Amino acid sequence: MSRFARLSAACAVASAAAVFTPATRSAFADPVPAAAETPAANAPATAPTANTPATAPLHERIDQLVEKFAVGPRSEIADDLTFLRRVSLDLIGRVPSSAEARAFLADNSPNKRQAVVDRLLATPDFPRNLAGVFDVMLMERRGNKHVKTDELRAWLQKSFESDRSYLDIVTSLLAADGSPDDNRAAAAFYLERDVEPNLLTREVGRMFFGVDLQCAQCHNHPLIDDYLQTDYYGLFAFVNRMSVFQPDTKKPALITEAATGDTNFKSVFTEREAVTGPRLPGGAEFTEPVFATGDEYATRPDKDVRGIPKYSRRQKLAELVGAGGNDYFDRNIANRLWAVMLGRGLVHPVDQHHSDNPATNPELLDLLAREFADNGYKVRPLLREIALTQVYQRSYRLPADLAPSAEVAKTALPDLKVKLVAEEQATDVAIEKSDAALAKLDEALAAAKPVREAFNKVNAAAVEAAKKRDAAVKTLTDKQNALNAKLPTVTTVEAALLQASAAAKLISDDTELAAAAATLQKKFDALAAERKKLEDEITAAKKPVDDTQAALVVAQEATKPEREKLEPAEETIRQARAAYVTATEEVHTHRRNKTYMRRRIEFLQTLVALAEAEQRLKTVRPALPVAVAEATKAQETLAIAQKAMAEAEAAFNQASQTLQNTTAQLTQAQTSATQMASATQLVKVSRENAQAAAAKLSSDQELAAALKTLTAREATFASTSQQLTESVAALTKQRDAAQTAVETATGQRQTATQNLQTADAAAKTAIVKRDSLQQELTKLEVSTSENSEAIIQQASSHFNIAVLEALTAEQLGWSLLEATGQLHRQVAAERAKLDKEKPLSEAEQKDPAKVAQREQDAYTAAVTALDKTVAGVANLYAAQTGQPQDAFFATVDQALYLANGSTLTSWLNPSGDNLTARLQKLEDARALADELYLSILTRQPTAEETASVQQYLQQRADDRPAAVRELAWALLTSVEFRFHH
Amino acid sequence: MKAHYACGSNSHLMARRQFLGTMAGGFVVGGLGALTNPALAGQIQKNQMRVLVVYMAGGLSQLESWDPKPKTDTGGPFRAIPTSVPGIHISELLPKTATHMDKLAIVRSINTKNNDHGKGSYQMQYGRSQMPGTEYPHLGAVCAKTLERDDNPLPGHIRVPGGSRGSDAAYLGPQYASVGMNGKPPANSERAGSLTEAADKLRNDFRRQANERFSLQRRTASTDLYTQSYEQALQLMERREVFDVTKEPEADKDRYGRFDLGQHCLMARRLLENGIPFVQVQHSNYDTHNENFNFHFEQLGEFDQAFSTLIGDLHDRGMLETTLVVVMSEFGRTPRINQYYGRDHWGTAWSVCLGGAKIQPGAVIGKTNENGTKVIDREVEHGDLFHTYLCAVGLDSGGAFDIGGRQQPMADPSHAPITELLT
Repeated sequence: MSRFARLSAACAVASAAAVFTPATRSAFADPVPAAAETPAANAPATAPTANTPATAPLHERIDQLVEKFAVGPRSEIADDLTFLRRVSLDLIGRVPSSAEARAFLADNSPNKRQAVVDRLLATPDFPRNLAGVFDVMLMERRGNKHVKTDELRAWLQKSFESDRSYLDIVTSLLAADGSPDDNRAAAAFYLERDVEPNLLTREVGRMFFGVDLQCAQCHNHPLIDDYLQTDYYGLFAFVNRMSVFQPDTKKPALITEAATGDTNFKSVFTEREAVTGPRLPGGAEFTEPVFATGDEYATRPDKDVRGIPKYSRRQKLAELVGAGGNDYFDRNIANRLWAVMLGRGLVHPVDQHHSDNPATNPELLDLLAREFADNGYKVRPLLREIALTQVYQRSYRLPADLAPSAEVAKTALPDLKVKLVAEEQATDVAIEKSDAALAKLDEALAAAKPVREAFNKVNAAAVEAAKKRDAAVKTLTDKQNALNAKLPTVTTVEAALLQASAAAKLISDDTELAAAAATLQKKFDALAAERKKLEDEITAAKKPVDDTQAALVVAQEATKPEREKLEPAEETIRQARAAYVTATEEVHTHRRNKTYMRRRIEFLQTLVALAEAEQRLKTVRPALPVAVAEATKAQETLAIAQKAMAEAEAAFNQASQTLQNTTAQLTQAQTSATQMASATQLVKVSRENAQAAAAKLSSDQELAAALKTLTAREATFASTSQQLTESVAALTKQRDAAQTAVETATGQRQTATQNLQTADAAAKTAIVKRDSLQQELTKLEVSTSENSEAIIQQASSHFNIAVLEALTAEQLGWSLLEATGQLHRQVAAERAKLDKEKPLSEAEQKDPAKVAQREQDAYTAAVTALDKTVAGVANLYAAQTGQPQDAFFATVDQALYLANGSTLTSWLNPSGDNLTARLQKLEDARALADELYLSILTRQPTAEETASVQQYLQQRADDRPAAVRELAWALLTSVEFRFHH
Repeated sequence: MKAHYACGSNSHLMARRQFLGTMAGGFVVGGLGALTNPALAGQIQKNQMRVLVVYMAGGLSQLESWDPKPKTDTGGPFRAIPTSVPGIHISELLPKTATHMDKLAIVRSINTKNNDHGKGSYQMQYGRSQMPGTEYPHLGAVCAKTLERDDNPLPGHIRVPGGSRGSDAAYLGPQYASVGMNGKPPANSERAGSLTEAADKLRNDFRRQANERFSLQRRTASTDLYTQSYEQALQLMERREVFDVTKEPEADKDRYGRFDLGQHCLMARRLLENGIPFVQVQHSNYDTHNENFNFHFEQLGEFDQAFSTLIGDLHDRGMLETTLVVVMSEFGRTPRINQYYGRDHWGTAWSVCLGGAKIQPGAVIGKTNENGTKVIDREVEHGDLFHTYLCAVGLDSGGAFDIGGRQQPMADPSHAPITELLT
């Protein structure tokens, strides 16, 4: 059972009724009932039934596992043409032609998607494209230093044509030494990296085990807890004895391997020292064959001799990998093949398998890895199964609802959080255990150190003895070689001498002949002497060989007791390291589970947050305009109240003023009335006194006059007083009225003040409400947009929404060639060339097989010719040599190349039946738009787009050919063409 | 032990900010306004940092330049002269540069422990020692990425002189690889003769319309970057003359000197003025195993004129505050004078001169002994210098790039900037 099974069961959020059943050796290459295969176009994804049996086709089981973890948004199944474009790009590396698109649309058969997958897989383009994909994947655009890239691609292509197992391919790569009887192309992996051990350690780790251990070379990885220095050197030990062997630069470079060389290392951070034997990631060390010092080589290395050890760690590496069964290896390739099809790995980046970066669906990765291994590591059938899944066929278009299952998520969260805590604790416990195991390993290493030193000391003598023996052997061999080189000359001279002597005997009087014979005799004698000398020297050289060999044997014997002591010490180390590796794997498992759960929790929380935000938005969005209106209205009311208040204030002031005035007048009038009244009284008294006096003095004229005056005055005064009293009364009334008016105005002012206060408070409330809603809306929109982006990314890394990635450099190159019709132009040219060079006879022309063969030959020739063109495009669009090739970048250089460069310009010149030539022939703008969009974007234009095309043509009616070129250019440089969707 | 690095990738942040910025509010927003504001094009913000490296290929002698030791057994025939900073003396071969010392600083205590041209030039330009199996980006690539401006379409990493694109950007990607300037505008930057400007505008409008329609269905930071690259291409086509040094005034050509280095420094000024983040000028060849003194006398004469003019101009134009200038080599030269009156390779105790940006003007860091045979104070190496360069242009040199989910430290994590050299 998978180490993830436990985890995934815990994390399954949707109904986790489905139980994963380990696959039996089955199924996926078998033909499957067609009807069940392919979803109808645009049909909603149907959930595969739970408890899908292990015998079900793999693609159903894949969908089932995807389904099991499917929470969150999910796109529709893509339409037919989107599917056709996608599958063509993935399987044969280019967009389909407009003819292919039309044919696919016209096909009404329900299983046409499966049919097209099978058709594409059967084309020669499939292995050719796959070879390119693997070359880029494995070599990252290295090549042509020692092994031609074409050679490697041809070998890969041949391998994929015959469905050779991936395991077998890798075994060849890892075993290759470049010798002519071996596979030269396979040596590219090592040779193009200059057989540099550190580079090879990194690259073997990345390419075949999915781990980039580079940063663990000098210390444990500073950023990734899983990557240990000890893992780095475990791999390093396999490759550090290798190097390039090329004594003659005119001859091809080979790989040589030393028989000895230990792997010691020390952390620059912690000073921890250690030594390790070879070990695969996650694997154990093993016992290696031991040969006596001096006897390690099958072929001893020399300046011009490639050394071949009796035991090769390189071959051991190939053998271990070839045996299969390494989880890292299986998961790595399954993940990489998934990424080839889906645009992204389940583990992403593909060389970052570690517990802080778990697969988005660990159980699915395990299923793919196991099925791929169980079915013989055959790439084509696996890609087929992936192409048939629903998950592969999802649209890139976003679904309307990005948080459809927030309720489910919310329910699942508490449980997950509890489990996360448990995993955190389990991780801590596992770390403690692994620390203890590490301490034991260090102990074993420390214990072995003096033993190893003791052995090295005695062994040094053996090494020295071996050197002497090798030198003696070399002396002997050199002499033997010298003798062997000499012998043919001796034989030839001897033969000539014999003939000359015989001739001289026959023609005894020929002095010249006799002289020649004599010269030859002399020459022969000299040579014979040399031969003799060499033979003597050889005889003499044999003794040192025997002697040194004997000395070596003695020295070897002397090492035996020390070696016997060393072996158990090393065995202890191996066991301690195995225990440590097991313990670290346990840590990885828990930490991976922990990270996975944490990510899952984060995702679910994001979903919940988005749903809540959206829910809230539903209230806030409509509430805001209402609040805005209310605030405006309240502000208007406030303004009215403020106006009323001002009026009331003014009225009050006026009334007060009136009161004040009237009061003053009244007071004045009252004063006057009082004065007048007392004056009147005084006059009255005076008059009465005067009257009395006058009665007594009636004759007094003056008195009489005074009395008259007084009487008159009294009357006047009384009248005035009367008037004044009346005036006072009137003014009193007025004052009272003013008093009332003031009281009224006061009341009104109070009301107005209250009204104002109310309106003010209401306005303030309304404004606060409006502003806080506005703020909330902004905040919600920002968080919604961020959460949406996070959810889209998550949904697309879970493949519920198709990944939108740029075309690879090669896909772009071939798609440009296909869409512009340049590919077919080249095919036509190659066909014409073949027809001219080797015309088909009339009979042959009637034979469909021959005609098809001719077509195939022309196509192959065209593709070969255009390979260079595509390489030119790749030069501009691909990442640099030796760098990961998956990061997207867009440069001004690239844009300028397509905008102004002669390449695309020339492809857009009408010729034969290329795109622009075809378009020009179409009088009807609608038909033109149709062909334009089908050729370039593999879809039909919308009505709006057709109208735009029509409008463009009208605008450029003066130069229709130019208009056609410009339209084609605009779509070829569009995002939709540049991206895989 | 686990180190944590911040993601310092500027373009990543930029793309993301821009992406989110245009997304916020409407979730998916059409329109290209945010990406193609023509008012922004060509504008250089005042605080934009730039870097100029003058690479003295072959190995400049520190004794004939920044760290003279006159009247000692190793000093050679030249005197030391005072500079505009009291107390700092440099070789008499650099009289004009000496008058600008108040704008510059010297590090005299470099020990790179290496005497190999290839390894030394890698150390100094990449900030790390070469390690098999690993490639790091050149200082220029790092600057091009971190100091790039999304409104400037010009290449960010330029070498004068040079040929085609270099492969020195490693994981940062080819867009940051060096572009060699040979006096010609970049390839394909001229509109094809058959295409009128009006037609080009029409077809680009049609392309934009197609992109807008697509963006309604799906939009990512990558799709934005792609559309942006075409707008930048159009802007670059408008600005082809930036690369044409003949447009500079004749008087300036005279002031810089009518020899290669002079014209290259003038070109550098033109490029820096146009907002290019990293320019490297090369002066060759200082590998003076023979006749060290004659060679330095001749070579430094050219250097002194061109370099001092450039520093003066950058200062006068107010650009020195935002432009880091570094004069570096792969190593220095031996104090010991060999039998051919030459000096040999020497990574043990040598100097670089630098200034501008956040470099403390008039500073001298470190010291060598009396006759320059070893560092006796504040020993530094290439890793420290690399950190210092990055900090001098306002970057957090302890940061890391996020390259497709892989974290790559910006500078060697086992080194640190020379903080006392920074303002």
